[in-house]
Amino acid sequence: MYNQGQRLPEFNLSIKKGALTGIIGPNGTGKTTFLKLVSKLLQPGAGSVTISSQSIGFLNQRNFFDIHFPINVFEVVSMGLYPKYRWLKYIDKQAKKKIFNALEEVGLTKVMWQSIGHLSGGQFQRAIFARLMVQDPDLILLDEPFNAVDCLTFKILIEQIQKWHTQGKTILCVMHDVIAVRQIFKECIVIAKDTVRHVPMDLITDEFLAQIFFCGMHAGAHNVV
Amino acid sequence: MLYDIFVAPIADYIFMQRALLSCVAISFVGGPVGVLLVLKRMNLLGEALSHGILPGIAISALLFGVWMPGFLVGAMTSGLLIAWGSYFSAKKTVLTEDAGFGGFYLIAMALGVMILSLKKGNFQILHLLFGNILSVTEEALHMVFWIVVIVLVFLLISIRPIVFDAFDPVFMQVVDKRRFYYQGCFWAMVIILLVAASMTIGTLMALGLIMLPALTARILVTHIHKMFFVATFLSIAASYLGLITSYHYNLPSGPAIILICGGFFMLAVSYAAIASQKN
Repeated sequence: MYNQGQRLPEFNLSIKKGALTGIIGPNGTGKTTFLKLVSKLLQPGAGSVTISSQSIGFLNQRNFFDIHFPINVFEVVSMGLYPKYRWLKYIDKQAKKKIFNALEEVGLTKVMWQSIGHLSGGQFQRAIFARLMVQDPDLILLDEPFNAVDCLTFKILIEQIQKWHTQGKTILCVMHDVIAVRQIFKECIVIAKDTVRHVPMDLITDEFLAQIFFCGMHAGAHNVV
Repeated sequence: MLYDIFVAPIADYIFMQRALLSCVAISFVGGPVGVLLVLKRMNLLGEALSHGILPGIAISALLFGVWMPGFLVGAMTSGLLIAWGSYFSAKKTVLTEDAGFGGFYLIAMALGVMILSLKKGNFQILHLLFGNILSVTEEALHMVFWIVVIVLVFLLISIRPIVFDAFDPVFMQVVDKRRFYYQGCFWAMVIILLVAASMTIGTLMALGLIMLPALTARILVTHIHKMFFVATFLSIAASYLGLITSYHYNLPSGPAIILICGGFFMLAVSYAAIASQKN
């Protein structure tokens, strides 16, 4: 059979409500597939995934977006209202205020009427984060949200993730930068070719990573994964 | 003089009025539908579907003659079979879904022409492939009107999820479990619109009236609402100019309308090329 998705090793894990979890692993081991299974975008060929969260927010990798799509920043952020406003409900003043607040928090109010094609990569990522803020889901899945973003955007996004964590939201985030993973997350899911491990962050030692990735690189180096 | 060229052909002949009305009605919803196809990057899929519906229309023409309800059922069945075949080939082989569409629409077109040739005389083939302004009967015009009303109501109700889906299908898949149904409805709307357009433009070029103005609008403007407006306006203008030209020079109406759309498109490409060089 073709186009049947990626094969993940057999595993069994549970993530507590309100957990802040990083996901790391070598390229092509199925980190994105894991997120898609959690979000029900993919159905597992064997086994099952049970989610207790009512609403899910999924942030796709930036290179999957058409950044020249002819809509403006405000409209992109307003997409976050869709789960509540659906097809026809009018976007009222209260909803607009929510959008303005989210745009303000990510520092995009000046460009909110501009077409998304005029945004920098970092600004675009902030707009997508603002959409998640407006959506306000219980479970937030982030697929490589910090790829190619500047320091300011990195800081804004990290602060937002911390804020979500204090609000009790469950966050799963695929990342490639092990230093950042160590700084931000309290626990980690490591997805390697033949194993999936859910471990507390203090167990992520250099030796552990070398063993997982078979590359012997120092865990403190950037882009180890 | 100007009256004789631009107004008289429409004012004096009822068949021209019917053809123009049918084209304007199709353009009214064809503009936004074309823009959505362009933004979903499904131009080629639309093209495959527009040719893929031919066998269904041909079988209906063979059995019942020019009868719109038959065309609609035939086109829908044909379109669904093509879509299913493409999905099946993508599941079971290394081919992607659009490659599957590419294969199946060629088979469908050959089959359609073959079935049409079983009907005595070439009129049916040319009429269905290239369109004929004489073919827009009152019955056909009524059917076009109802098709346009259905597509318009669908667009008004579901424009929000369809536009959002064009921008970020993964987001919509996560937040709306009904995505499969409104996507299916969207493709059904494309098919019935293509059937309506086939009556004047012909099946071979039906998508041209929907797609070329949308592509031109994509080049000229940068917001989706403006794109809807520009595509609809260009589509209506091309319909009128194409019909007038086909009348005066005794040309087939379908290619005449599409060539005018093509002219707008080429002008937009040239304009964009010159503008980018200046920058």
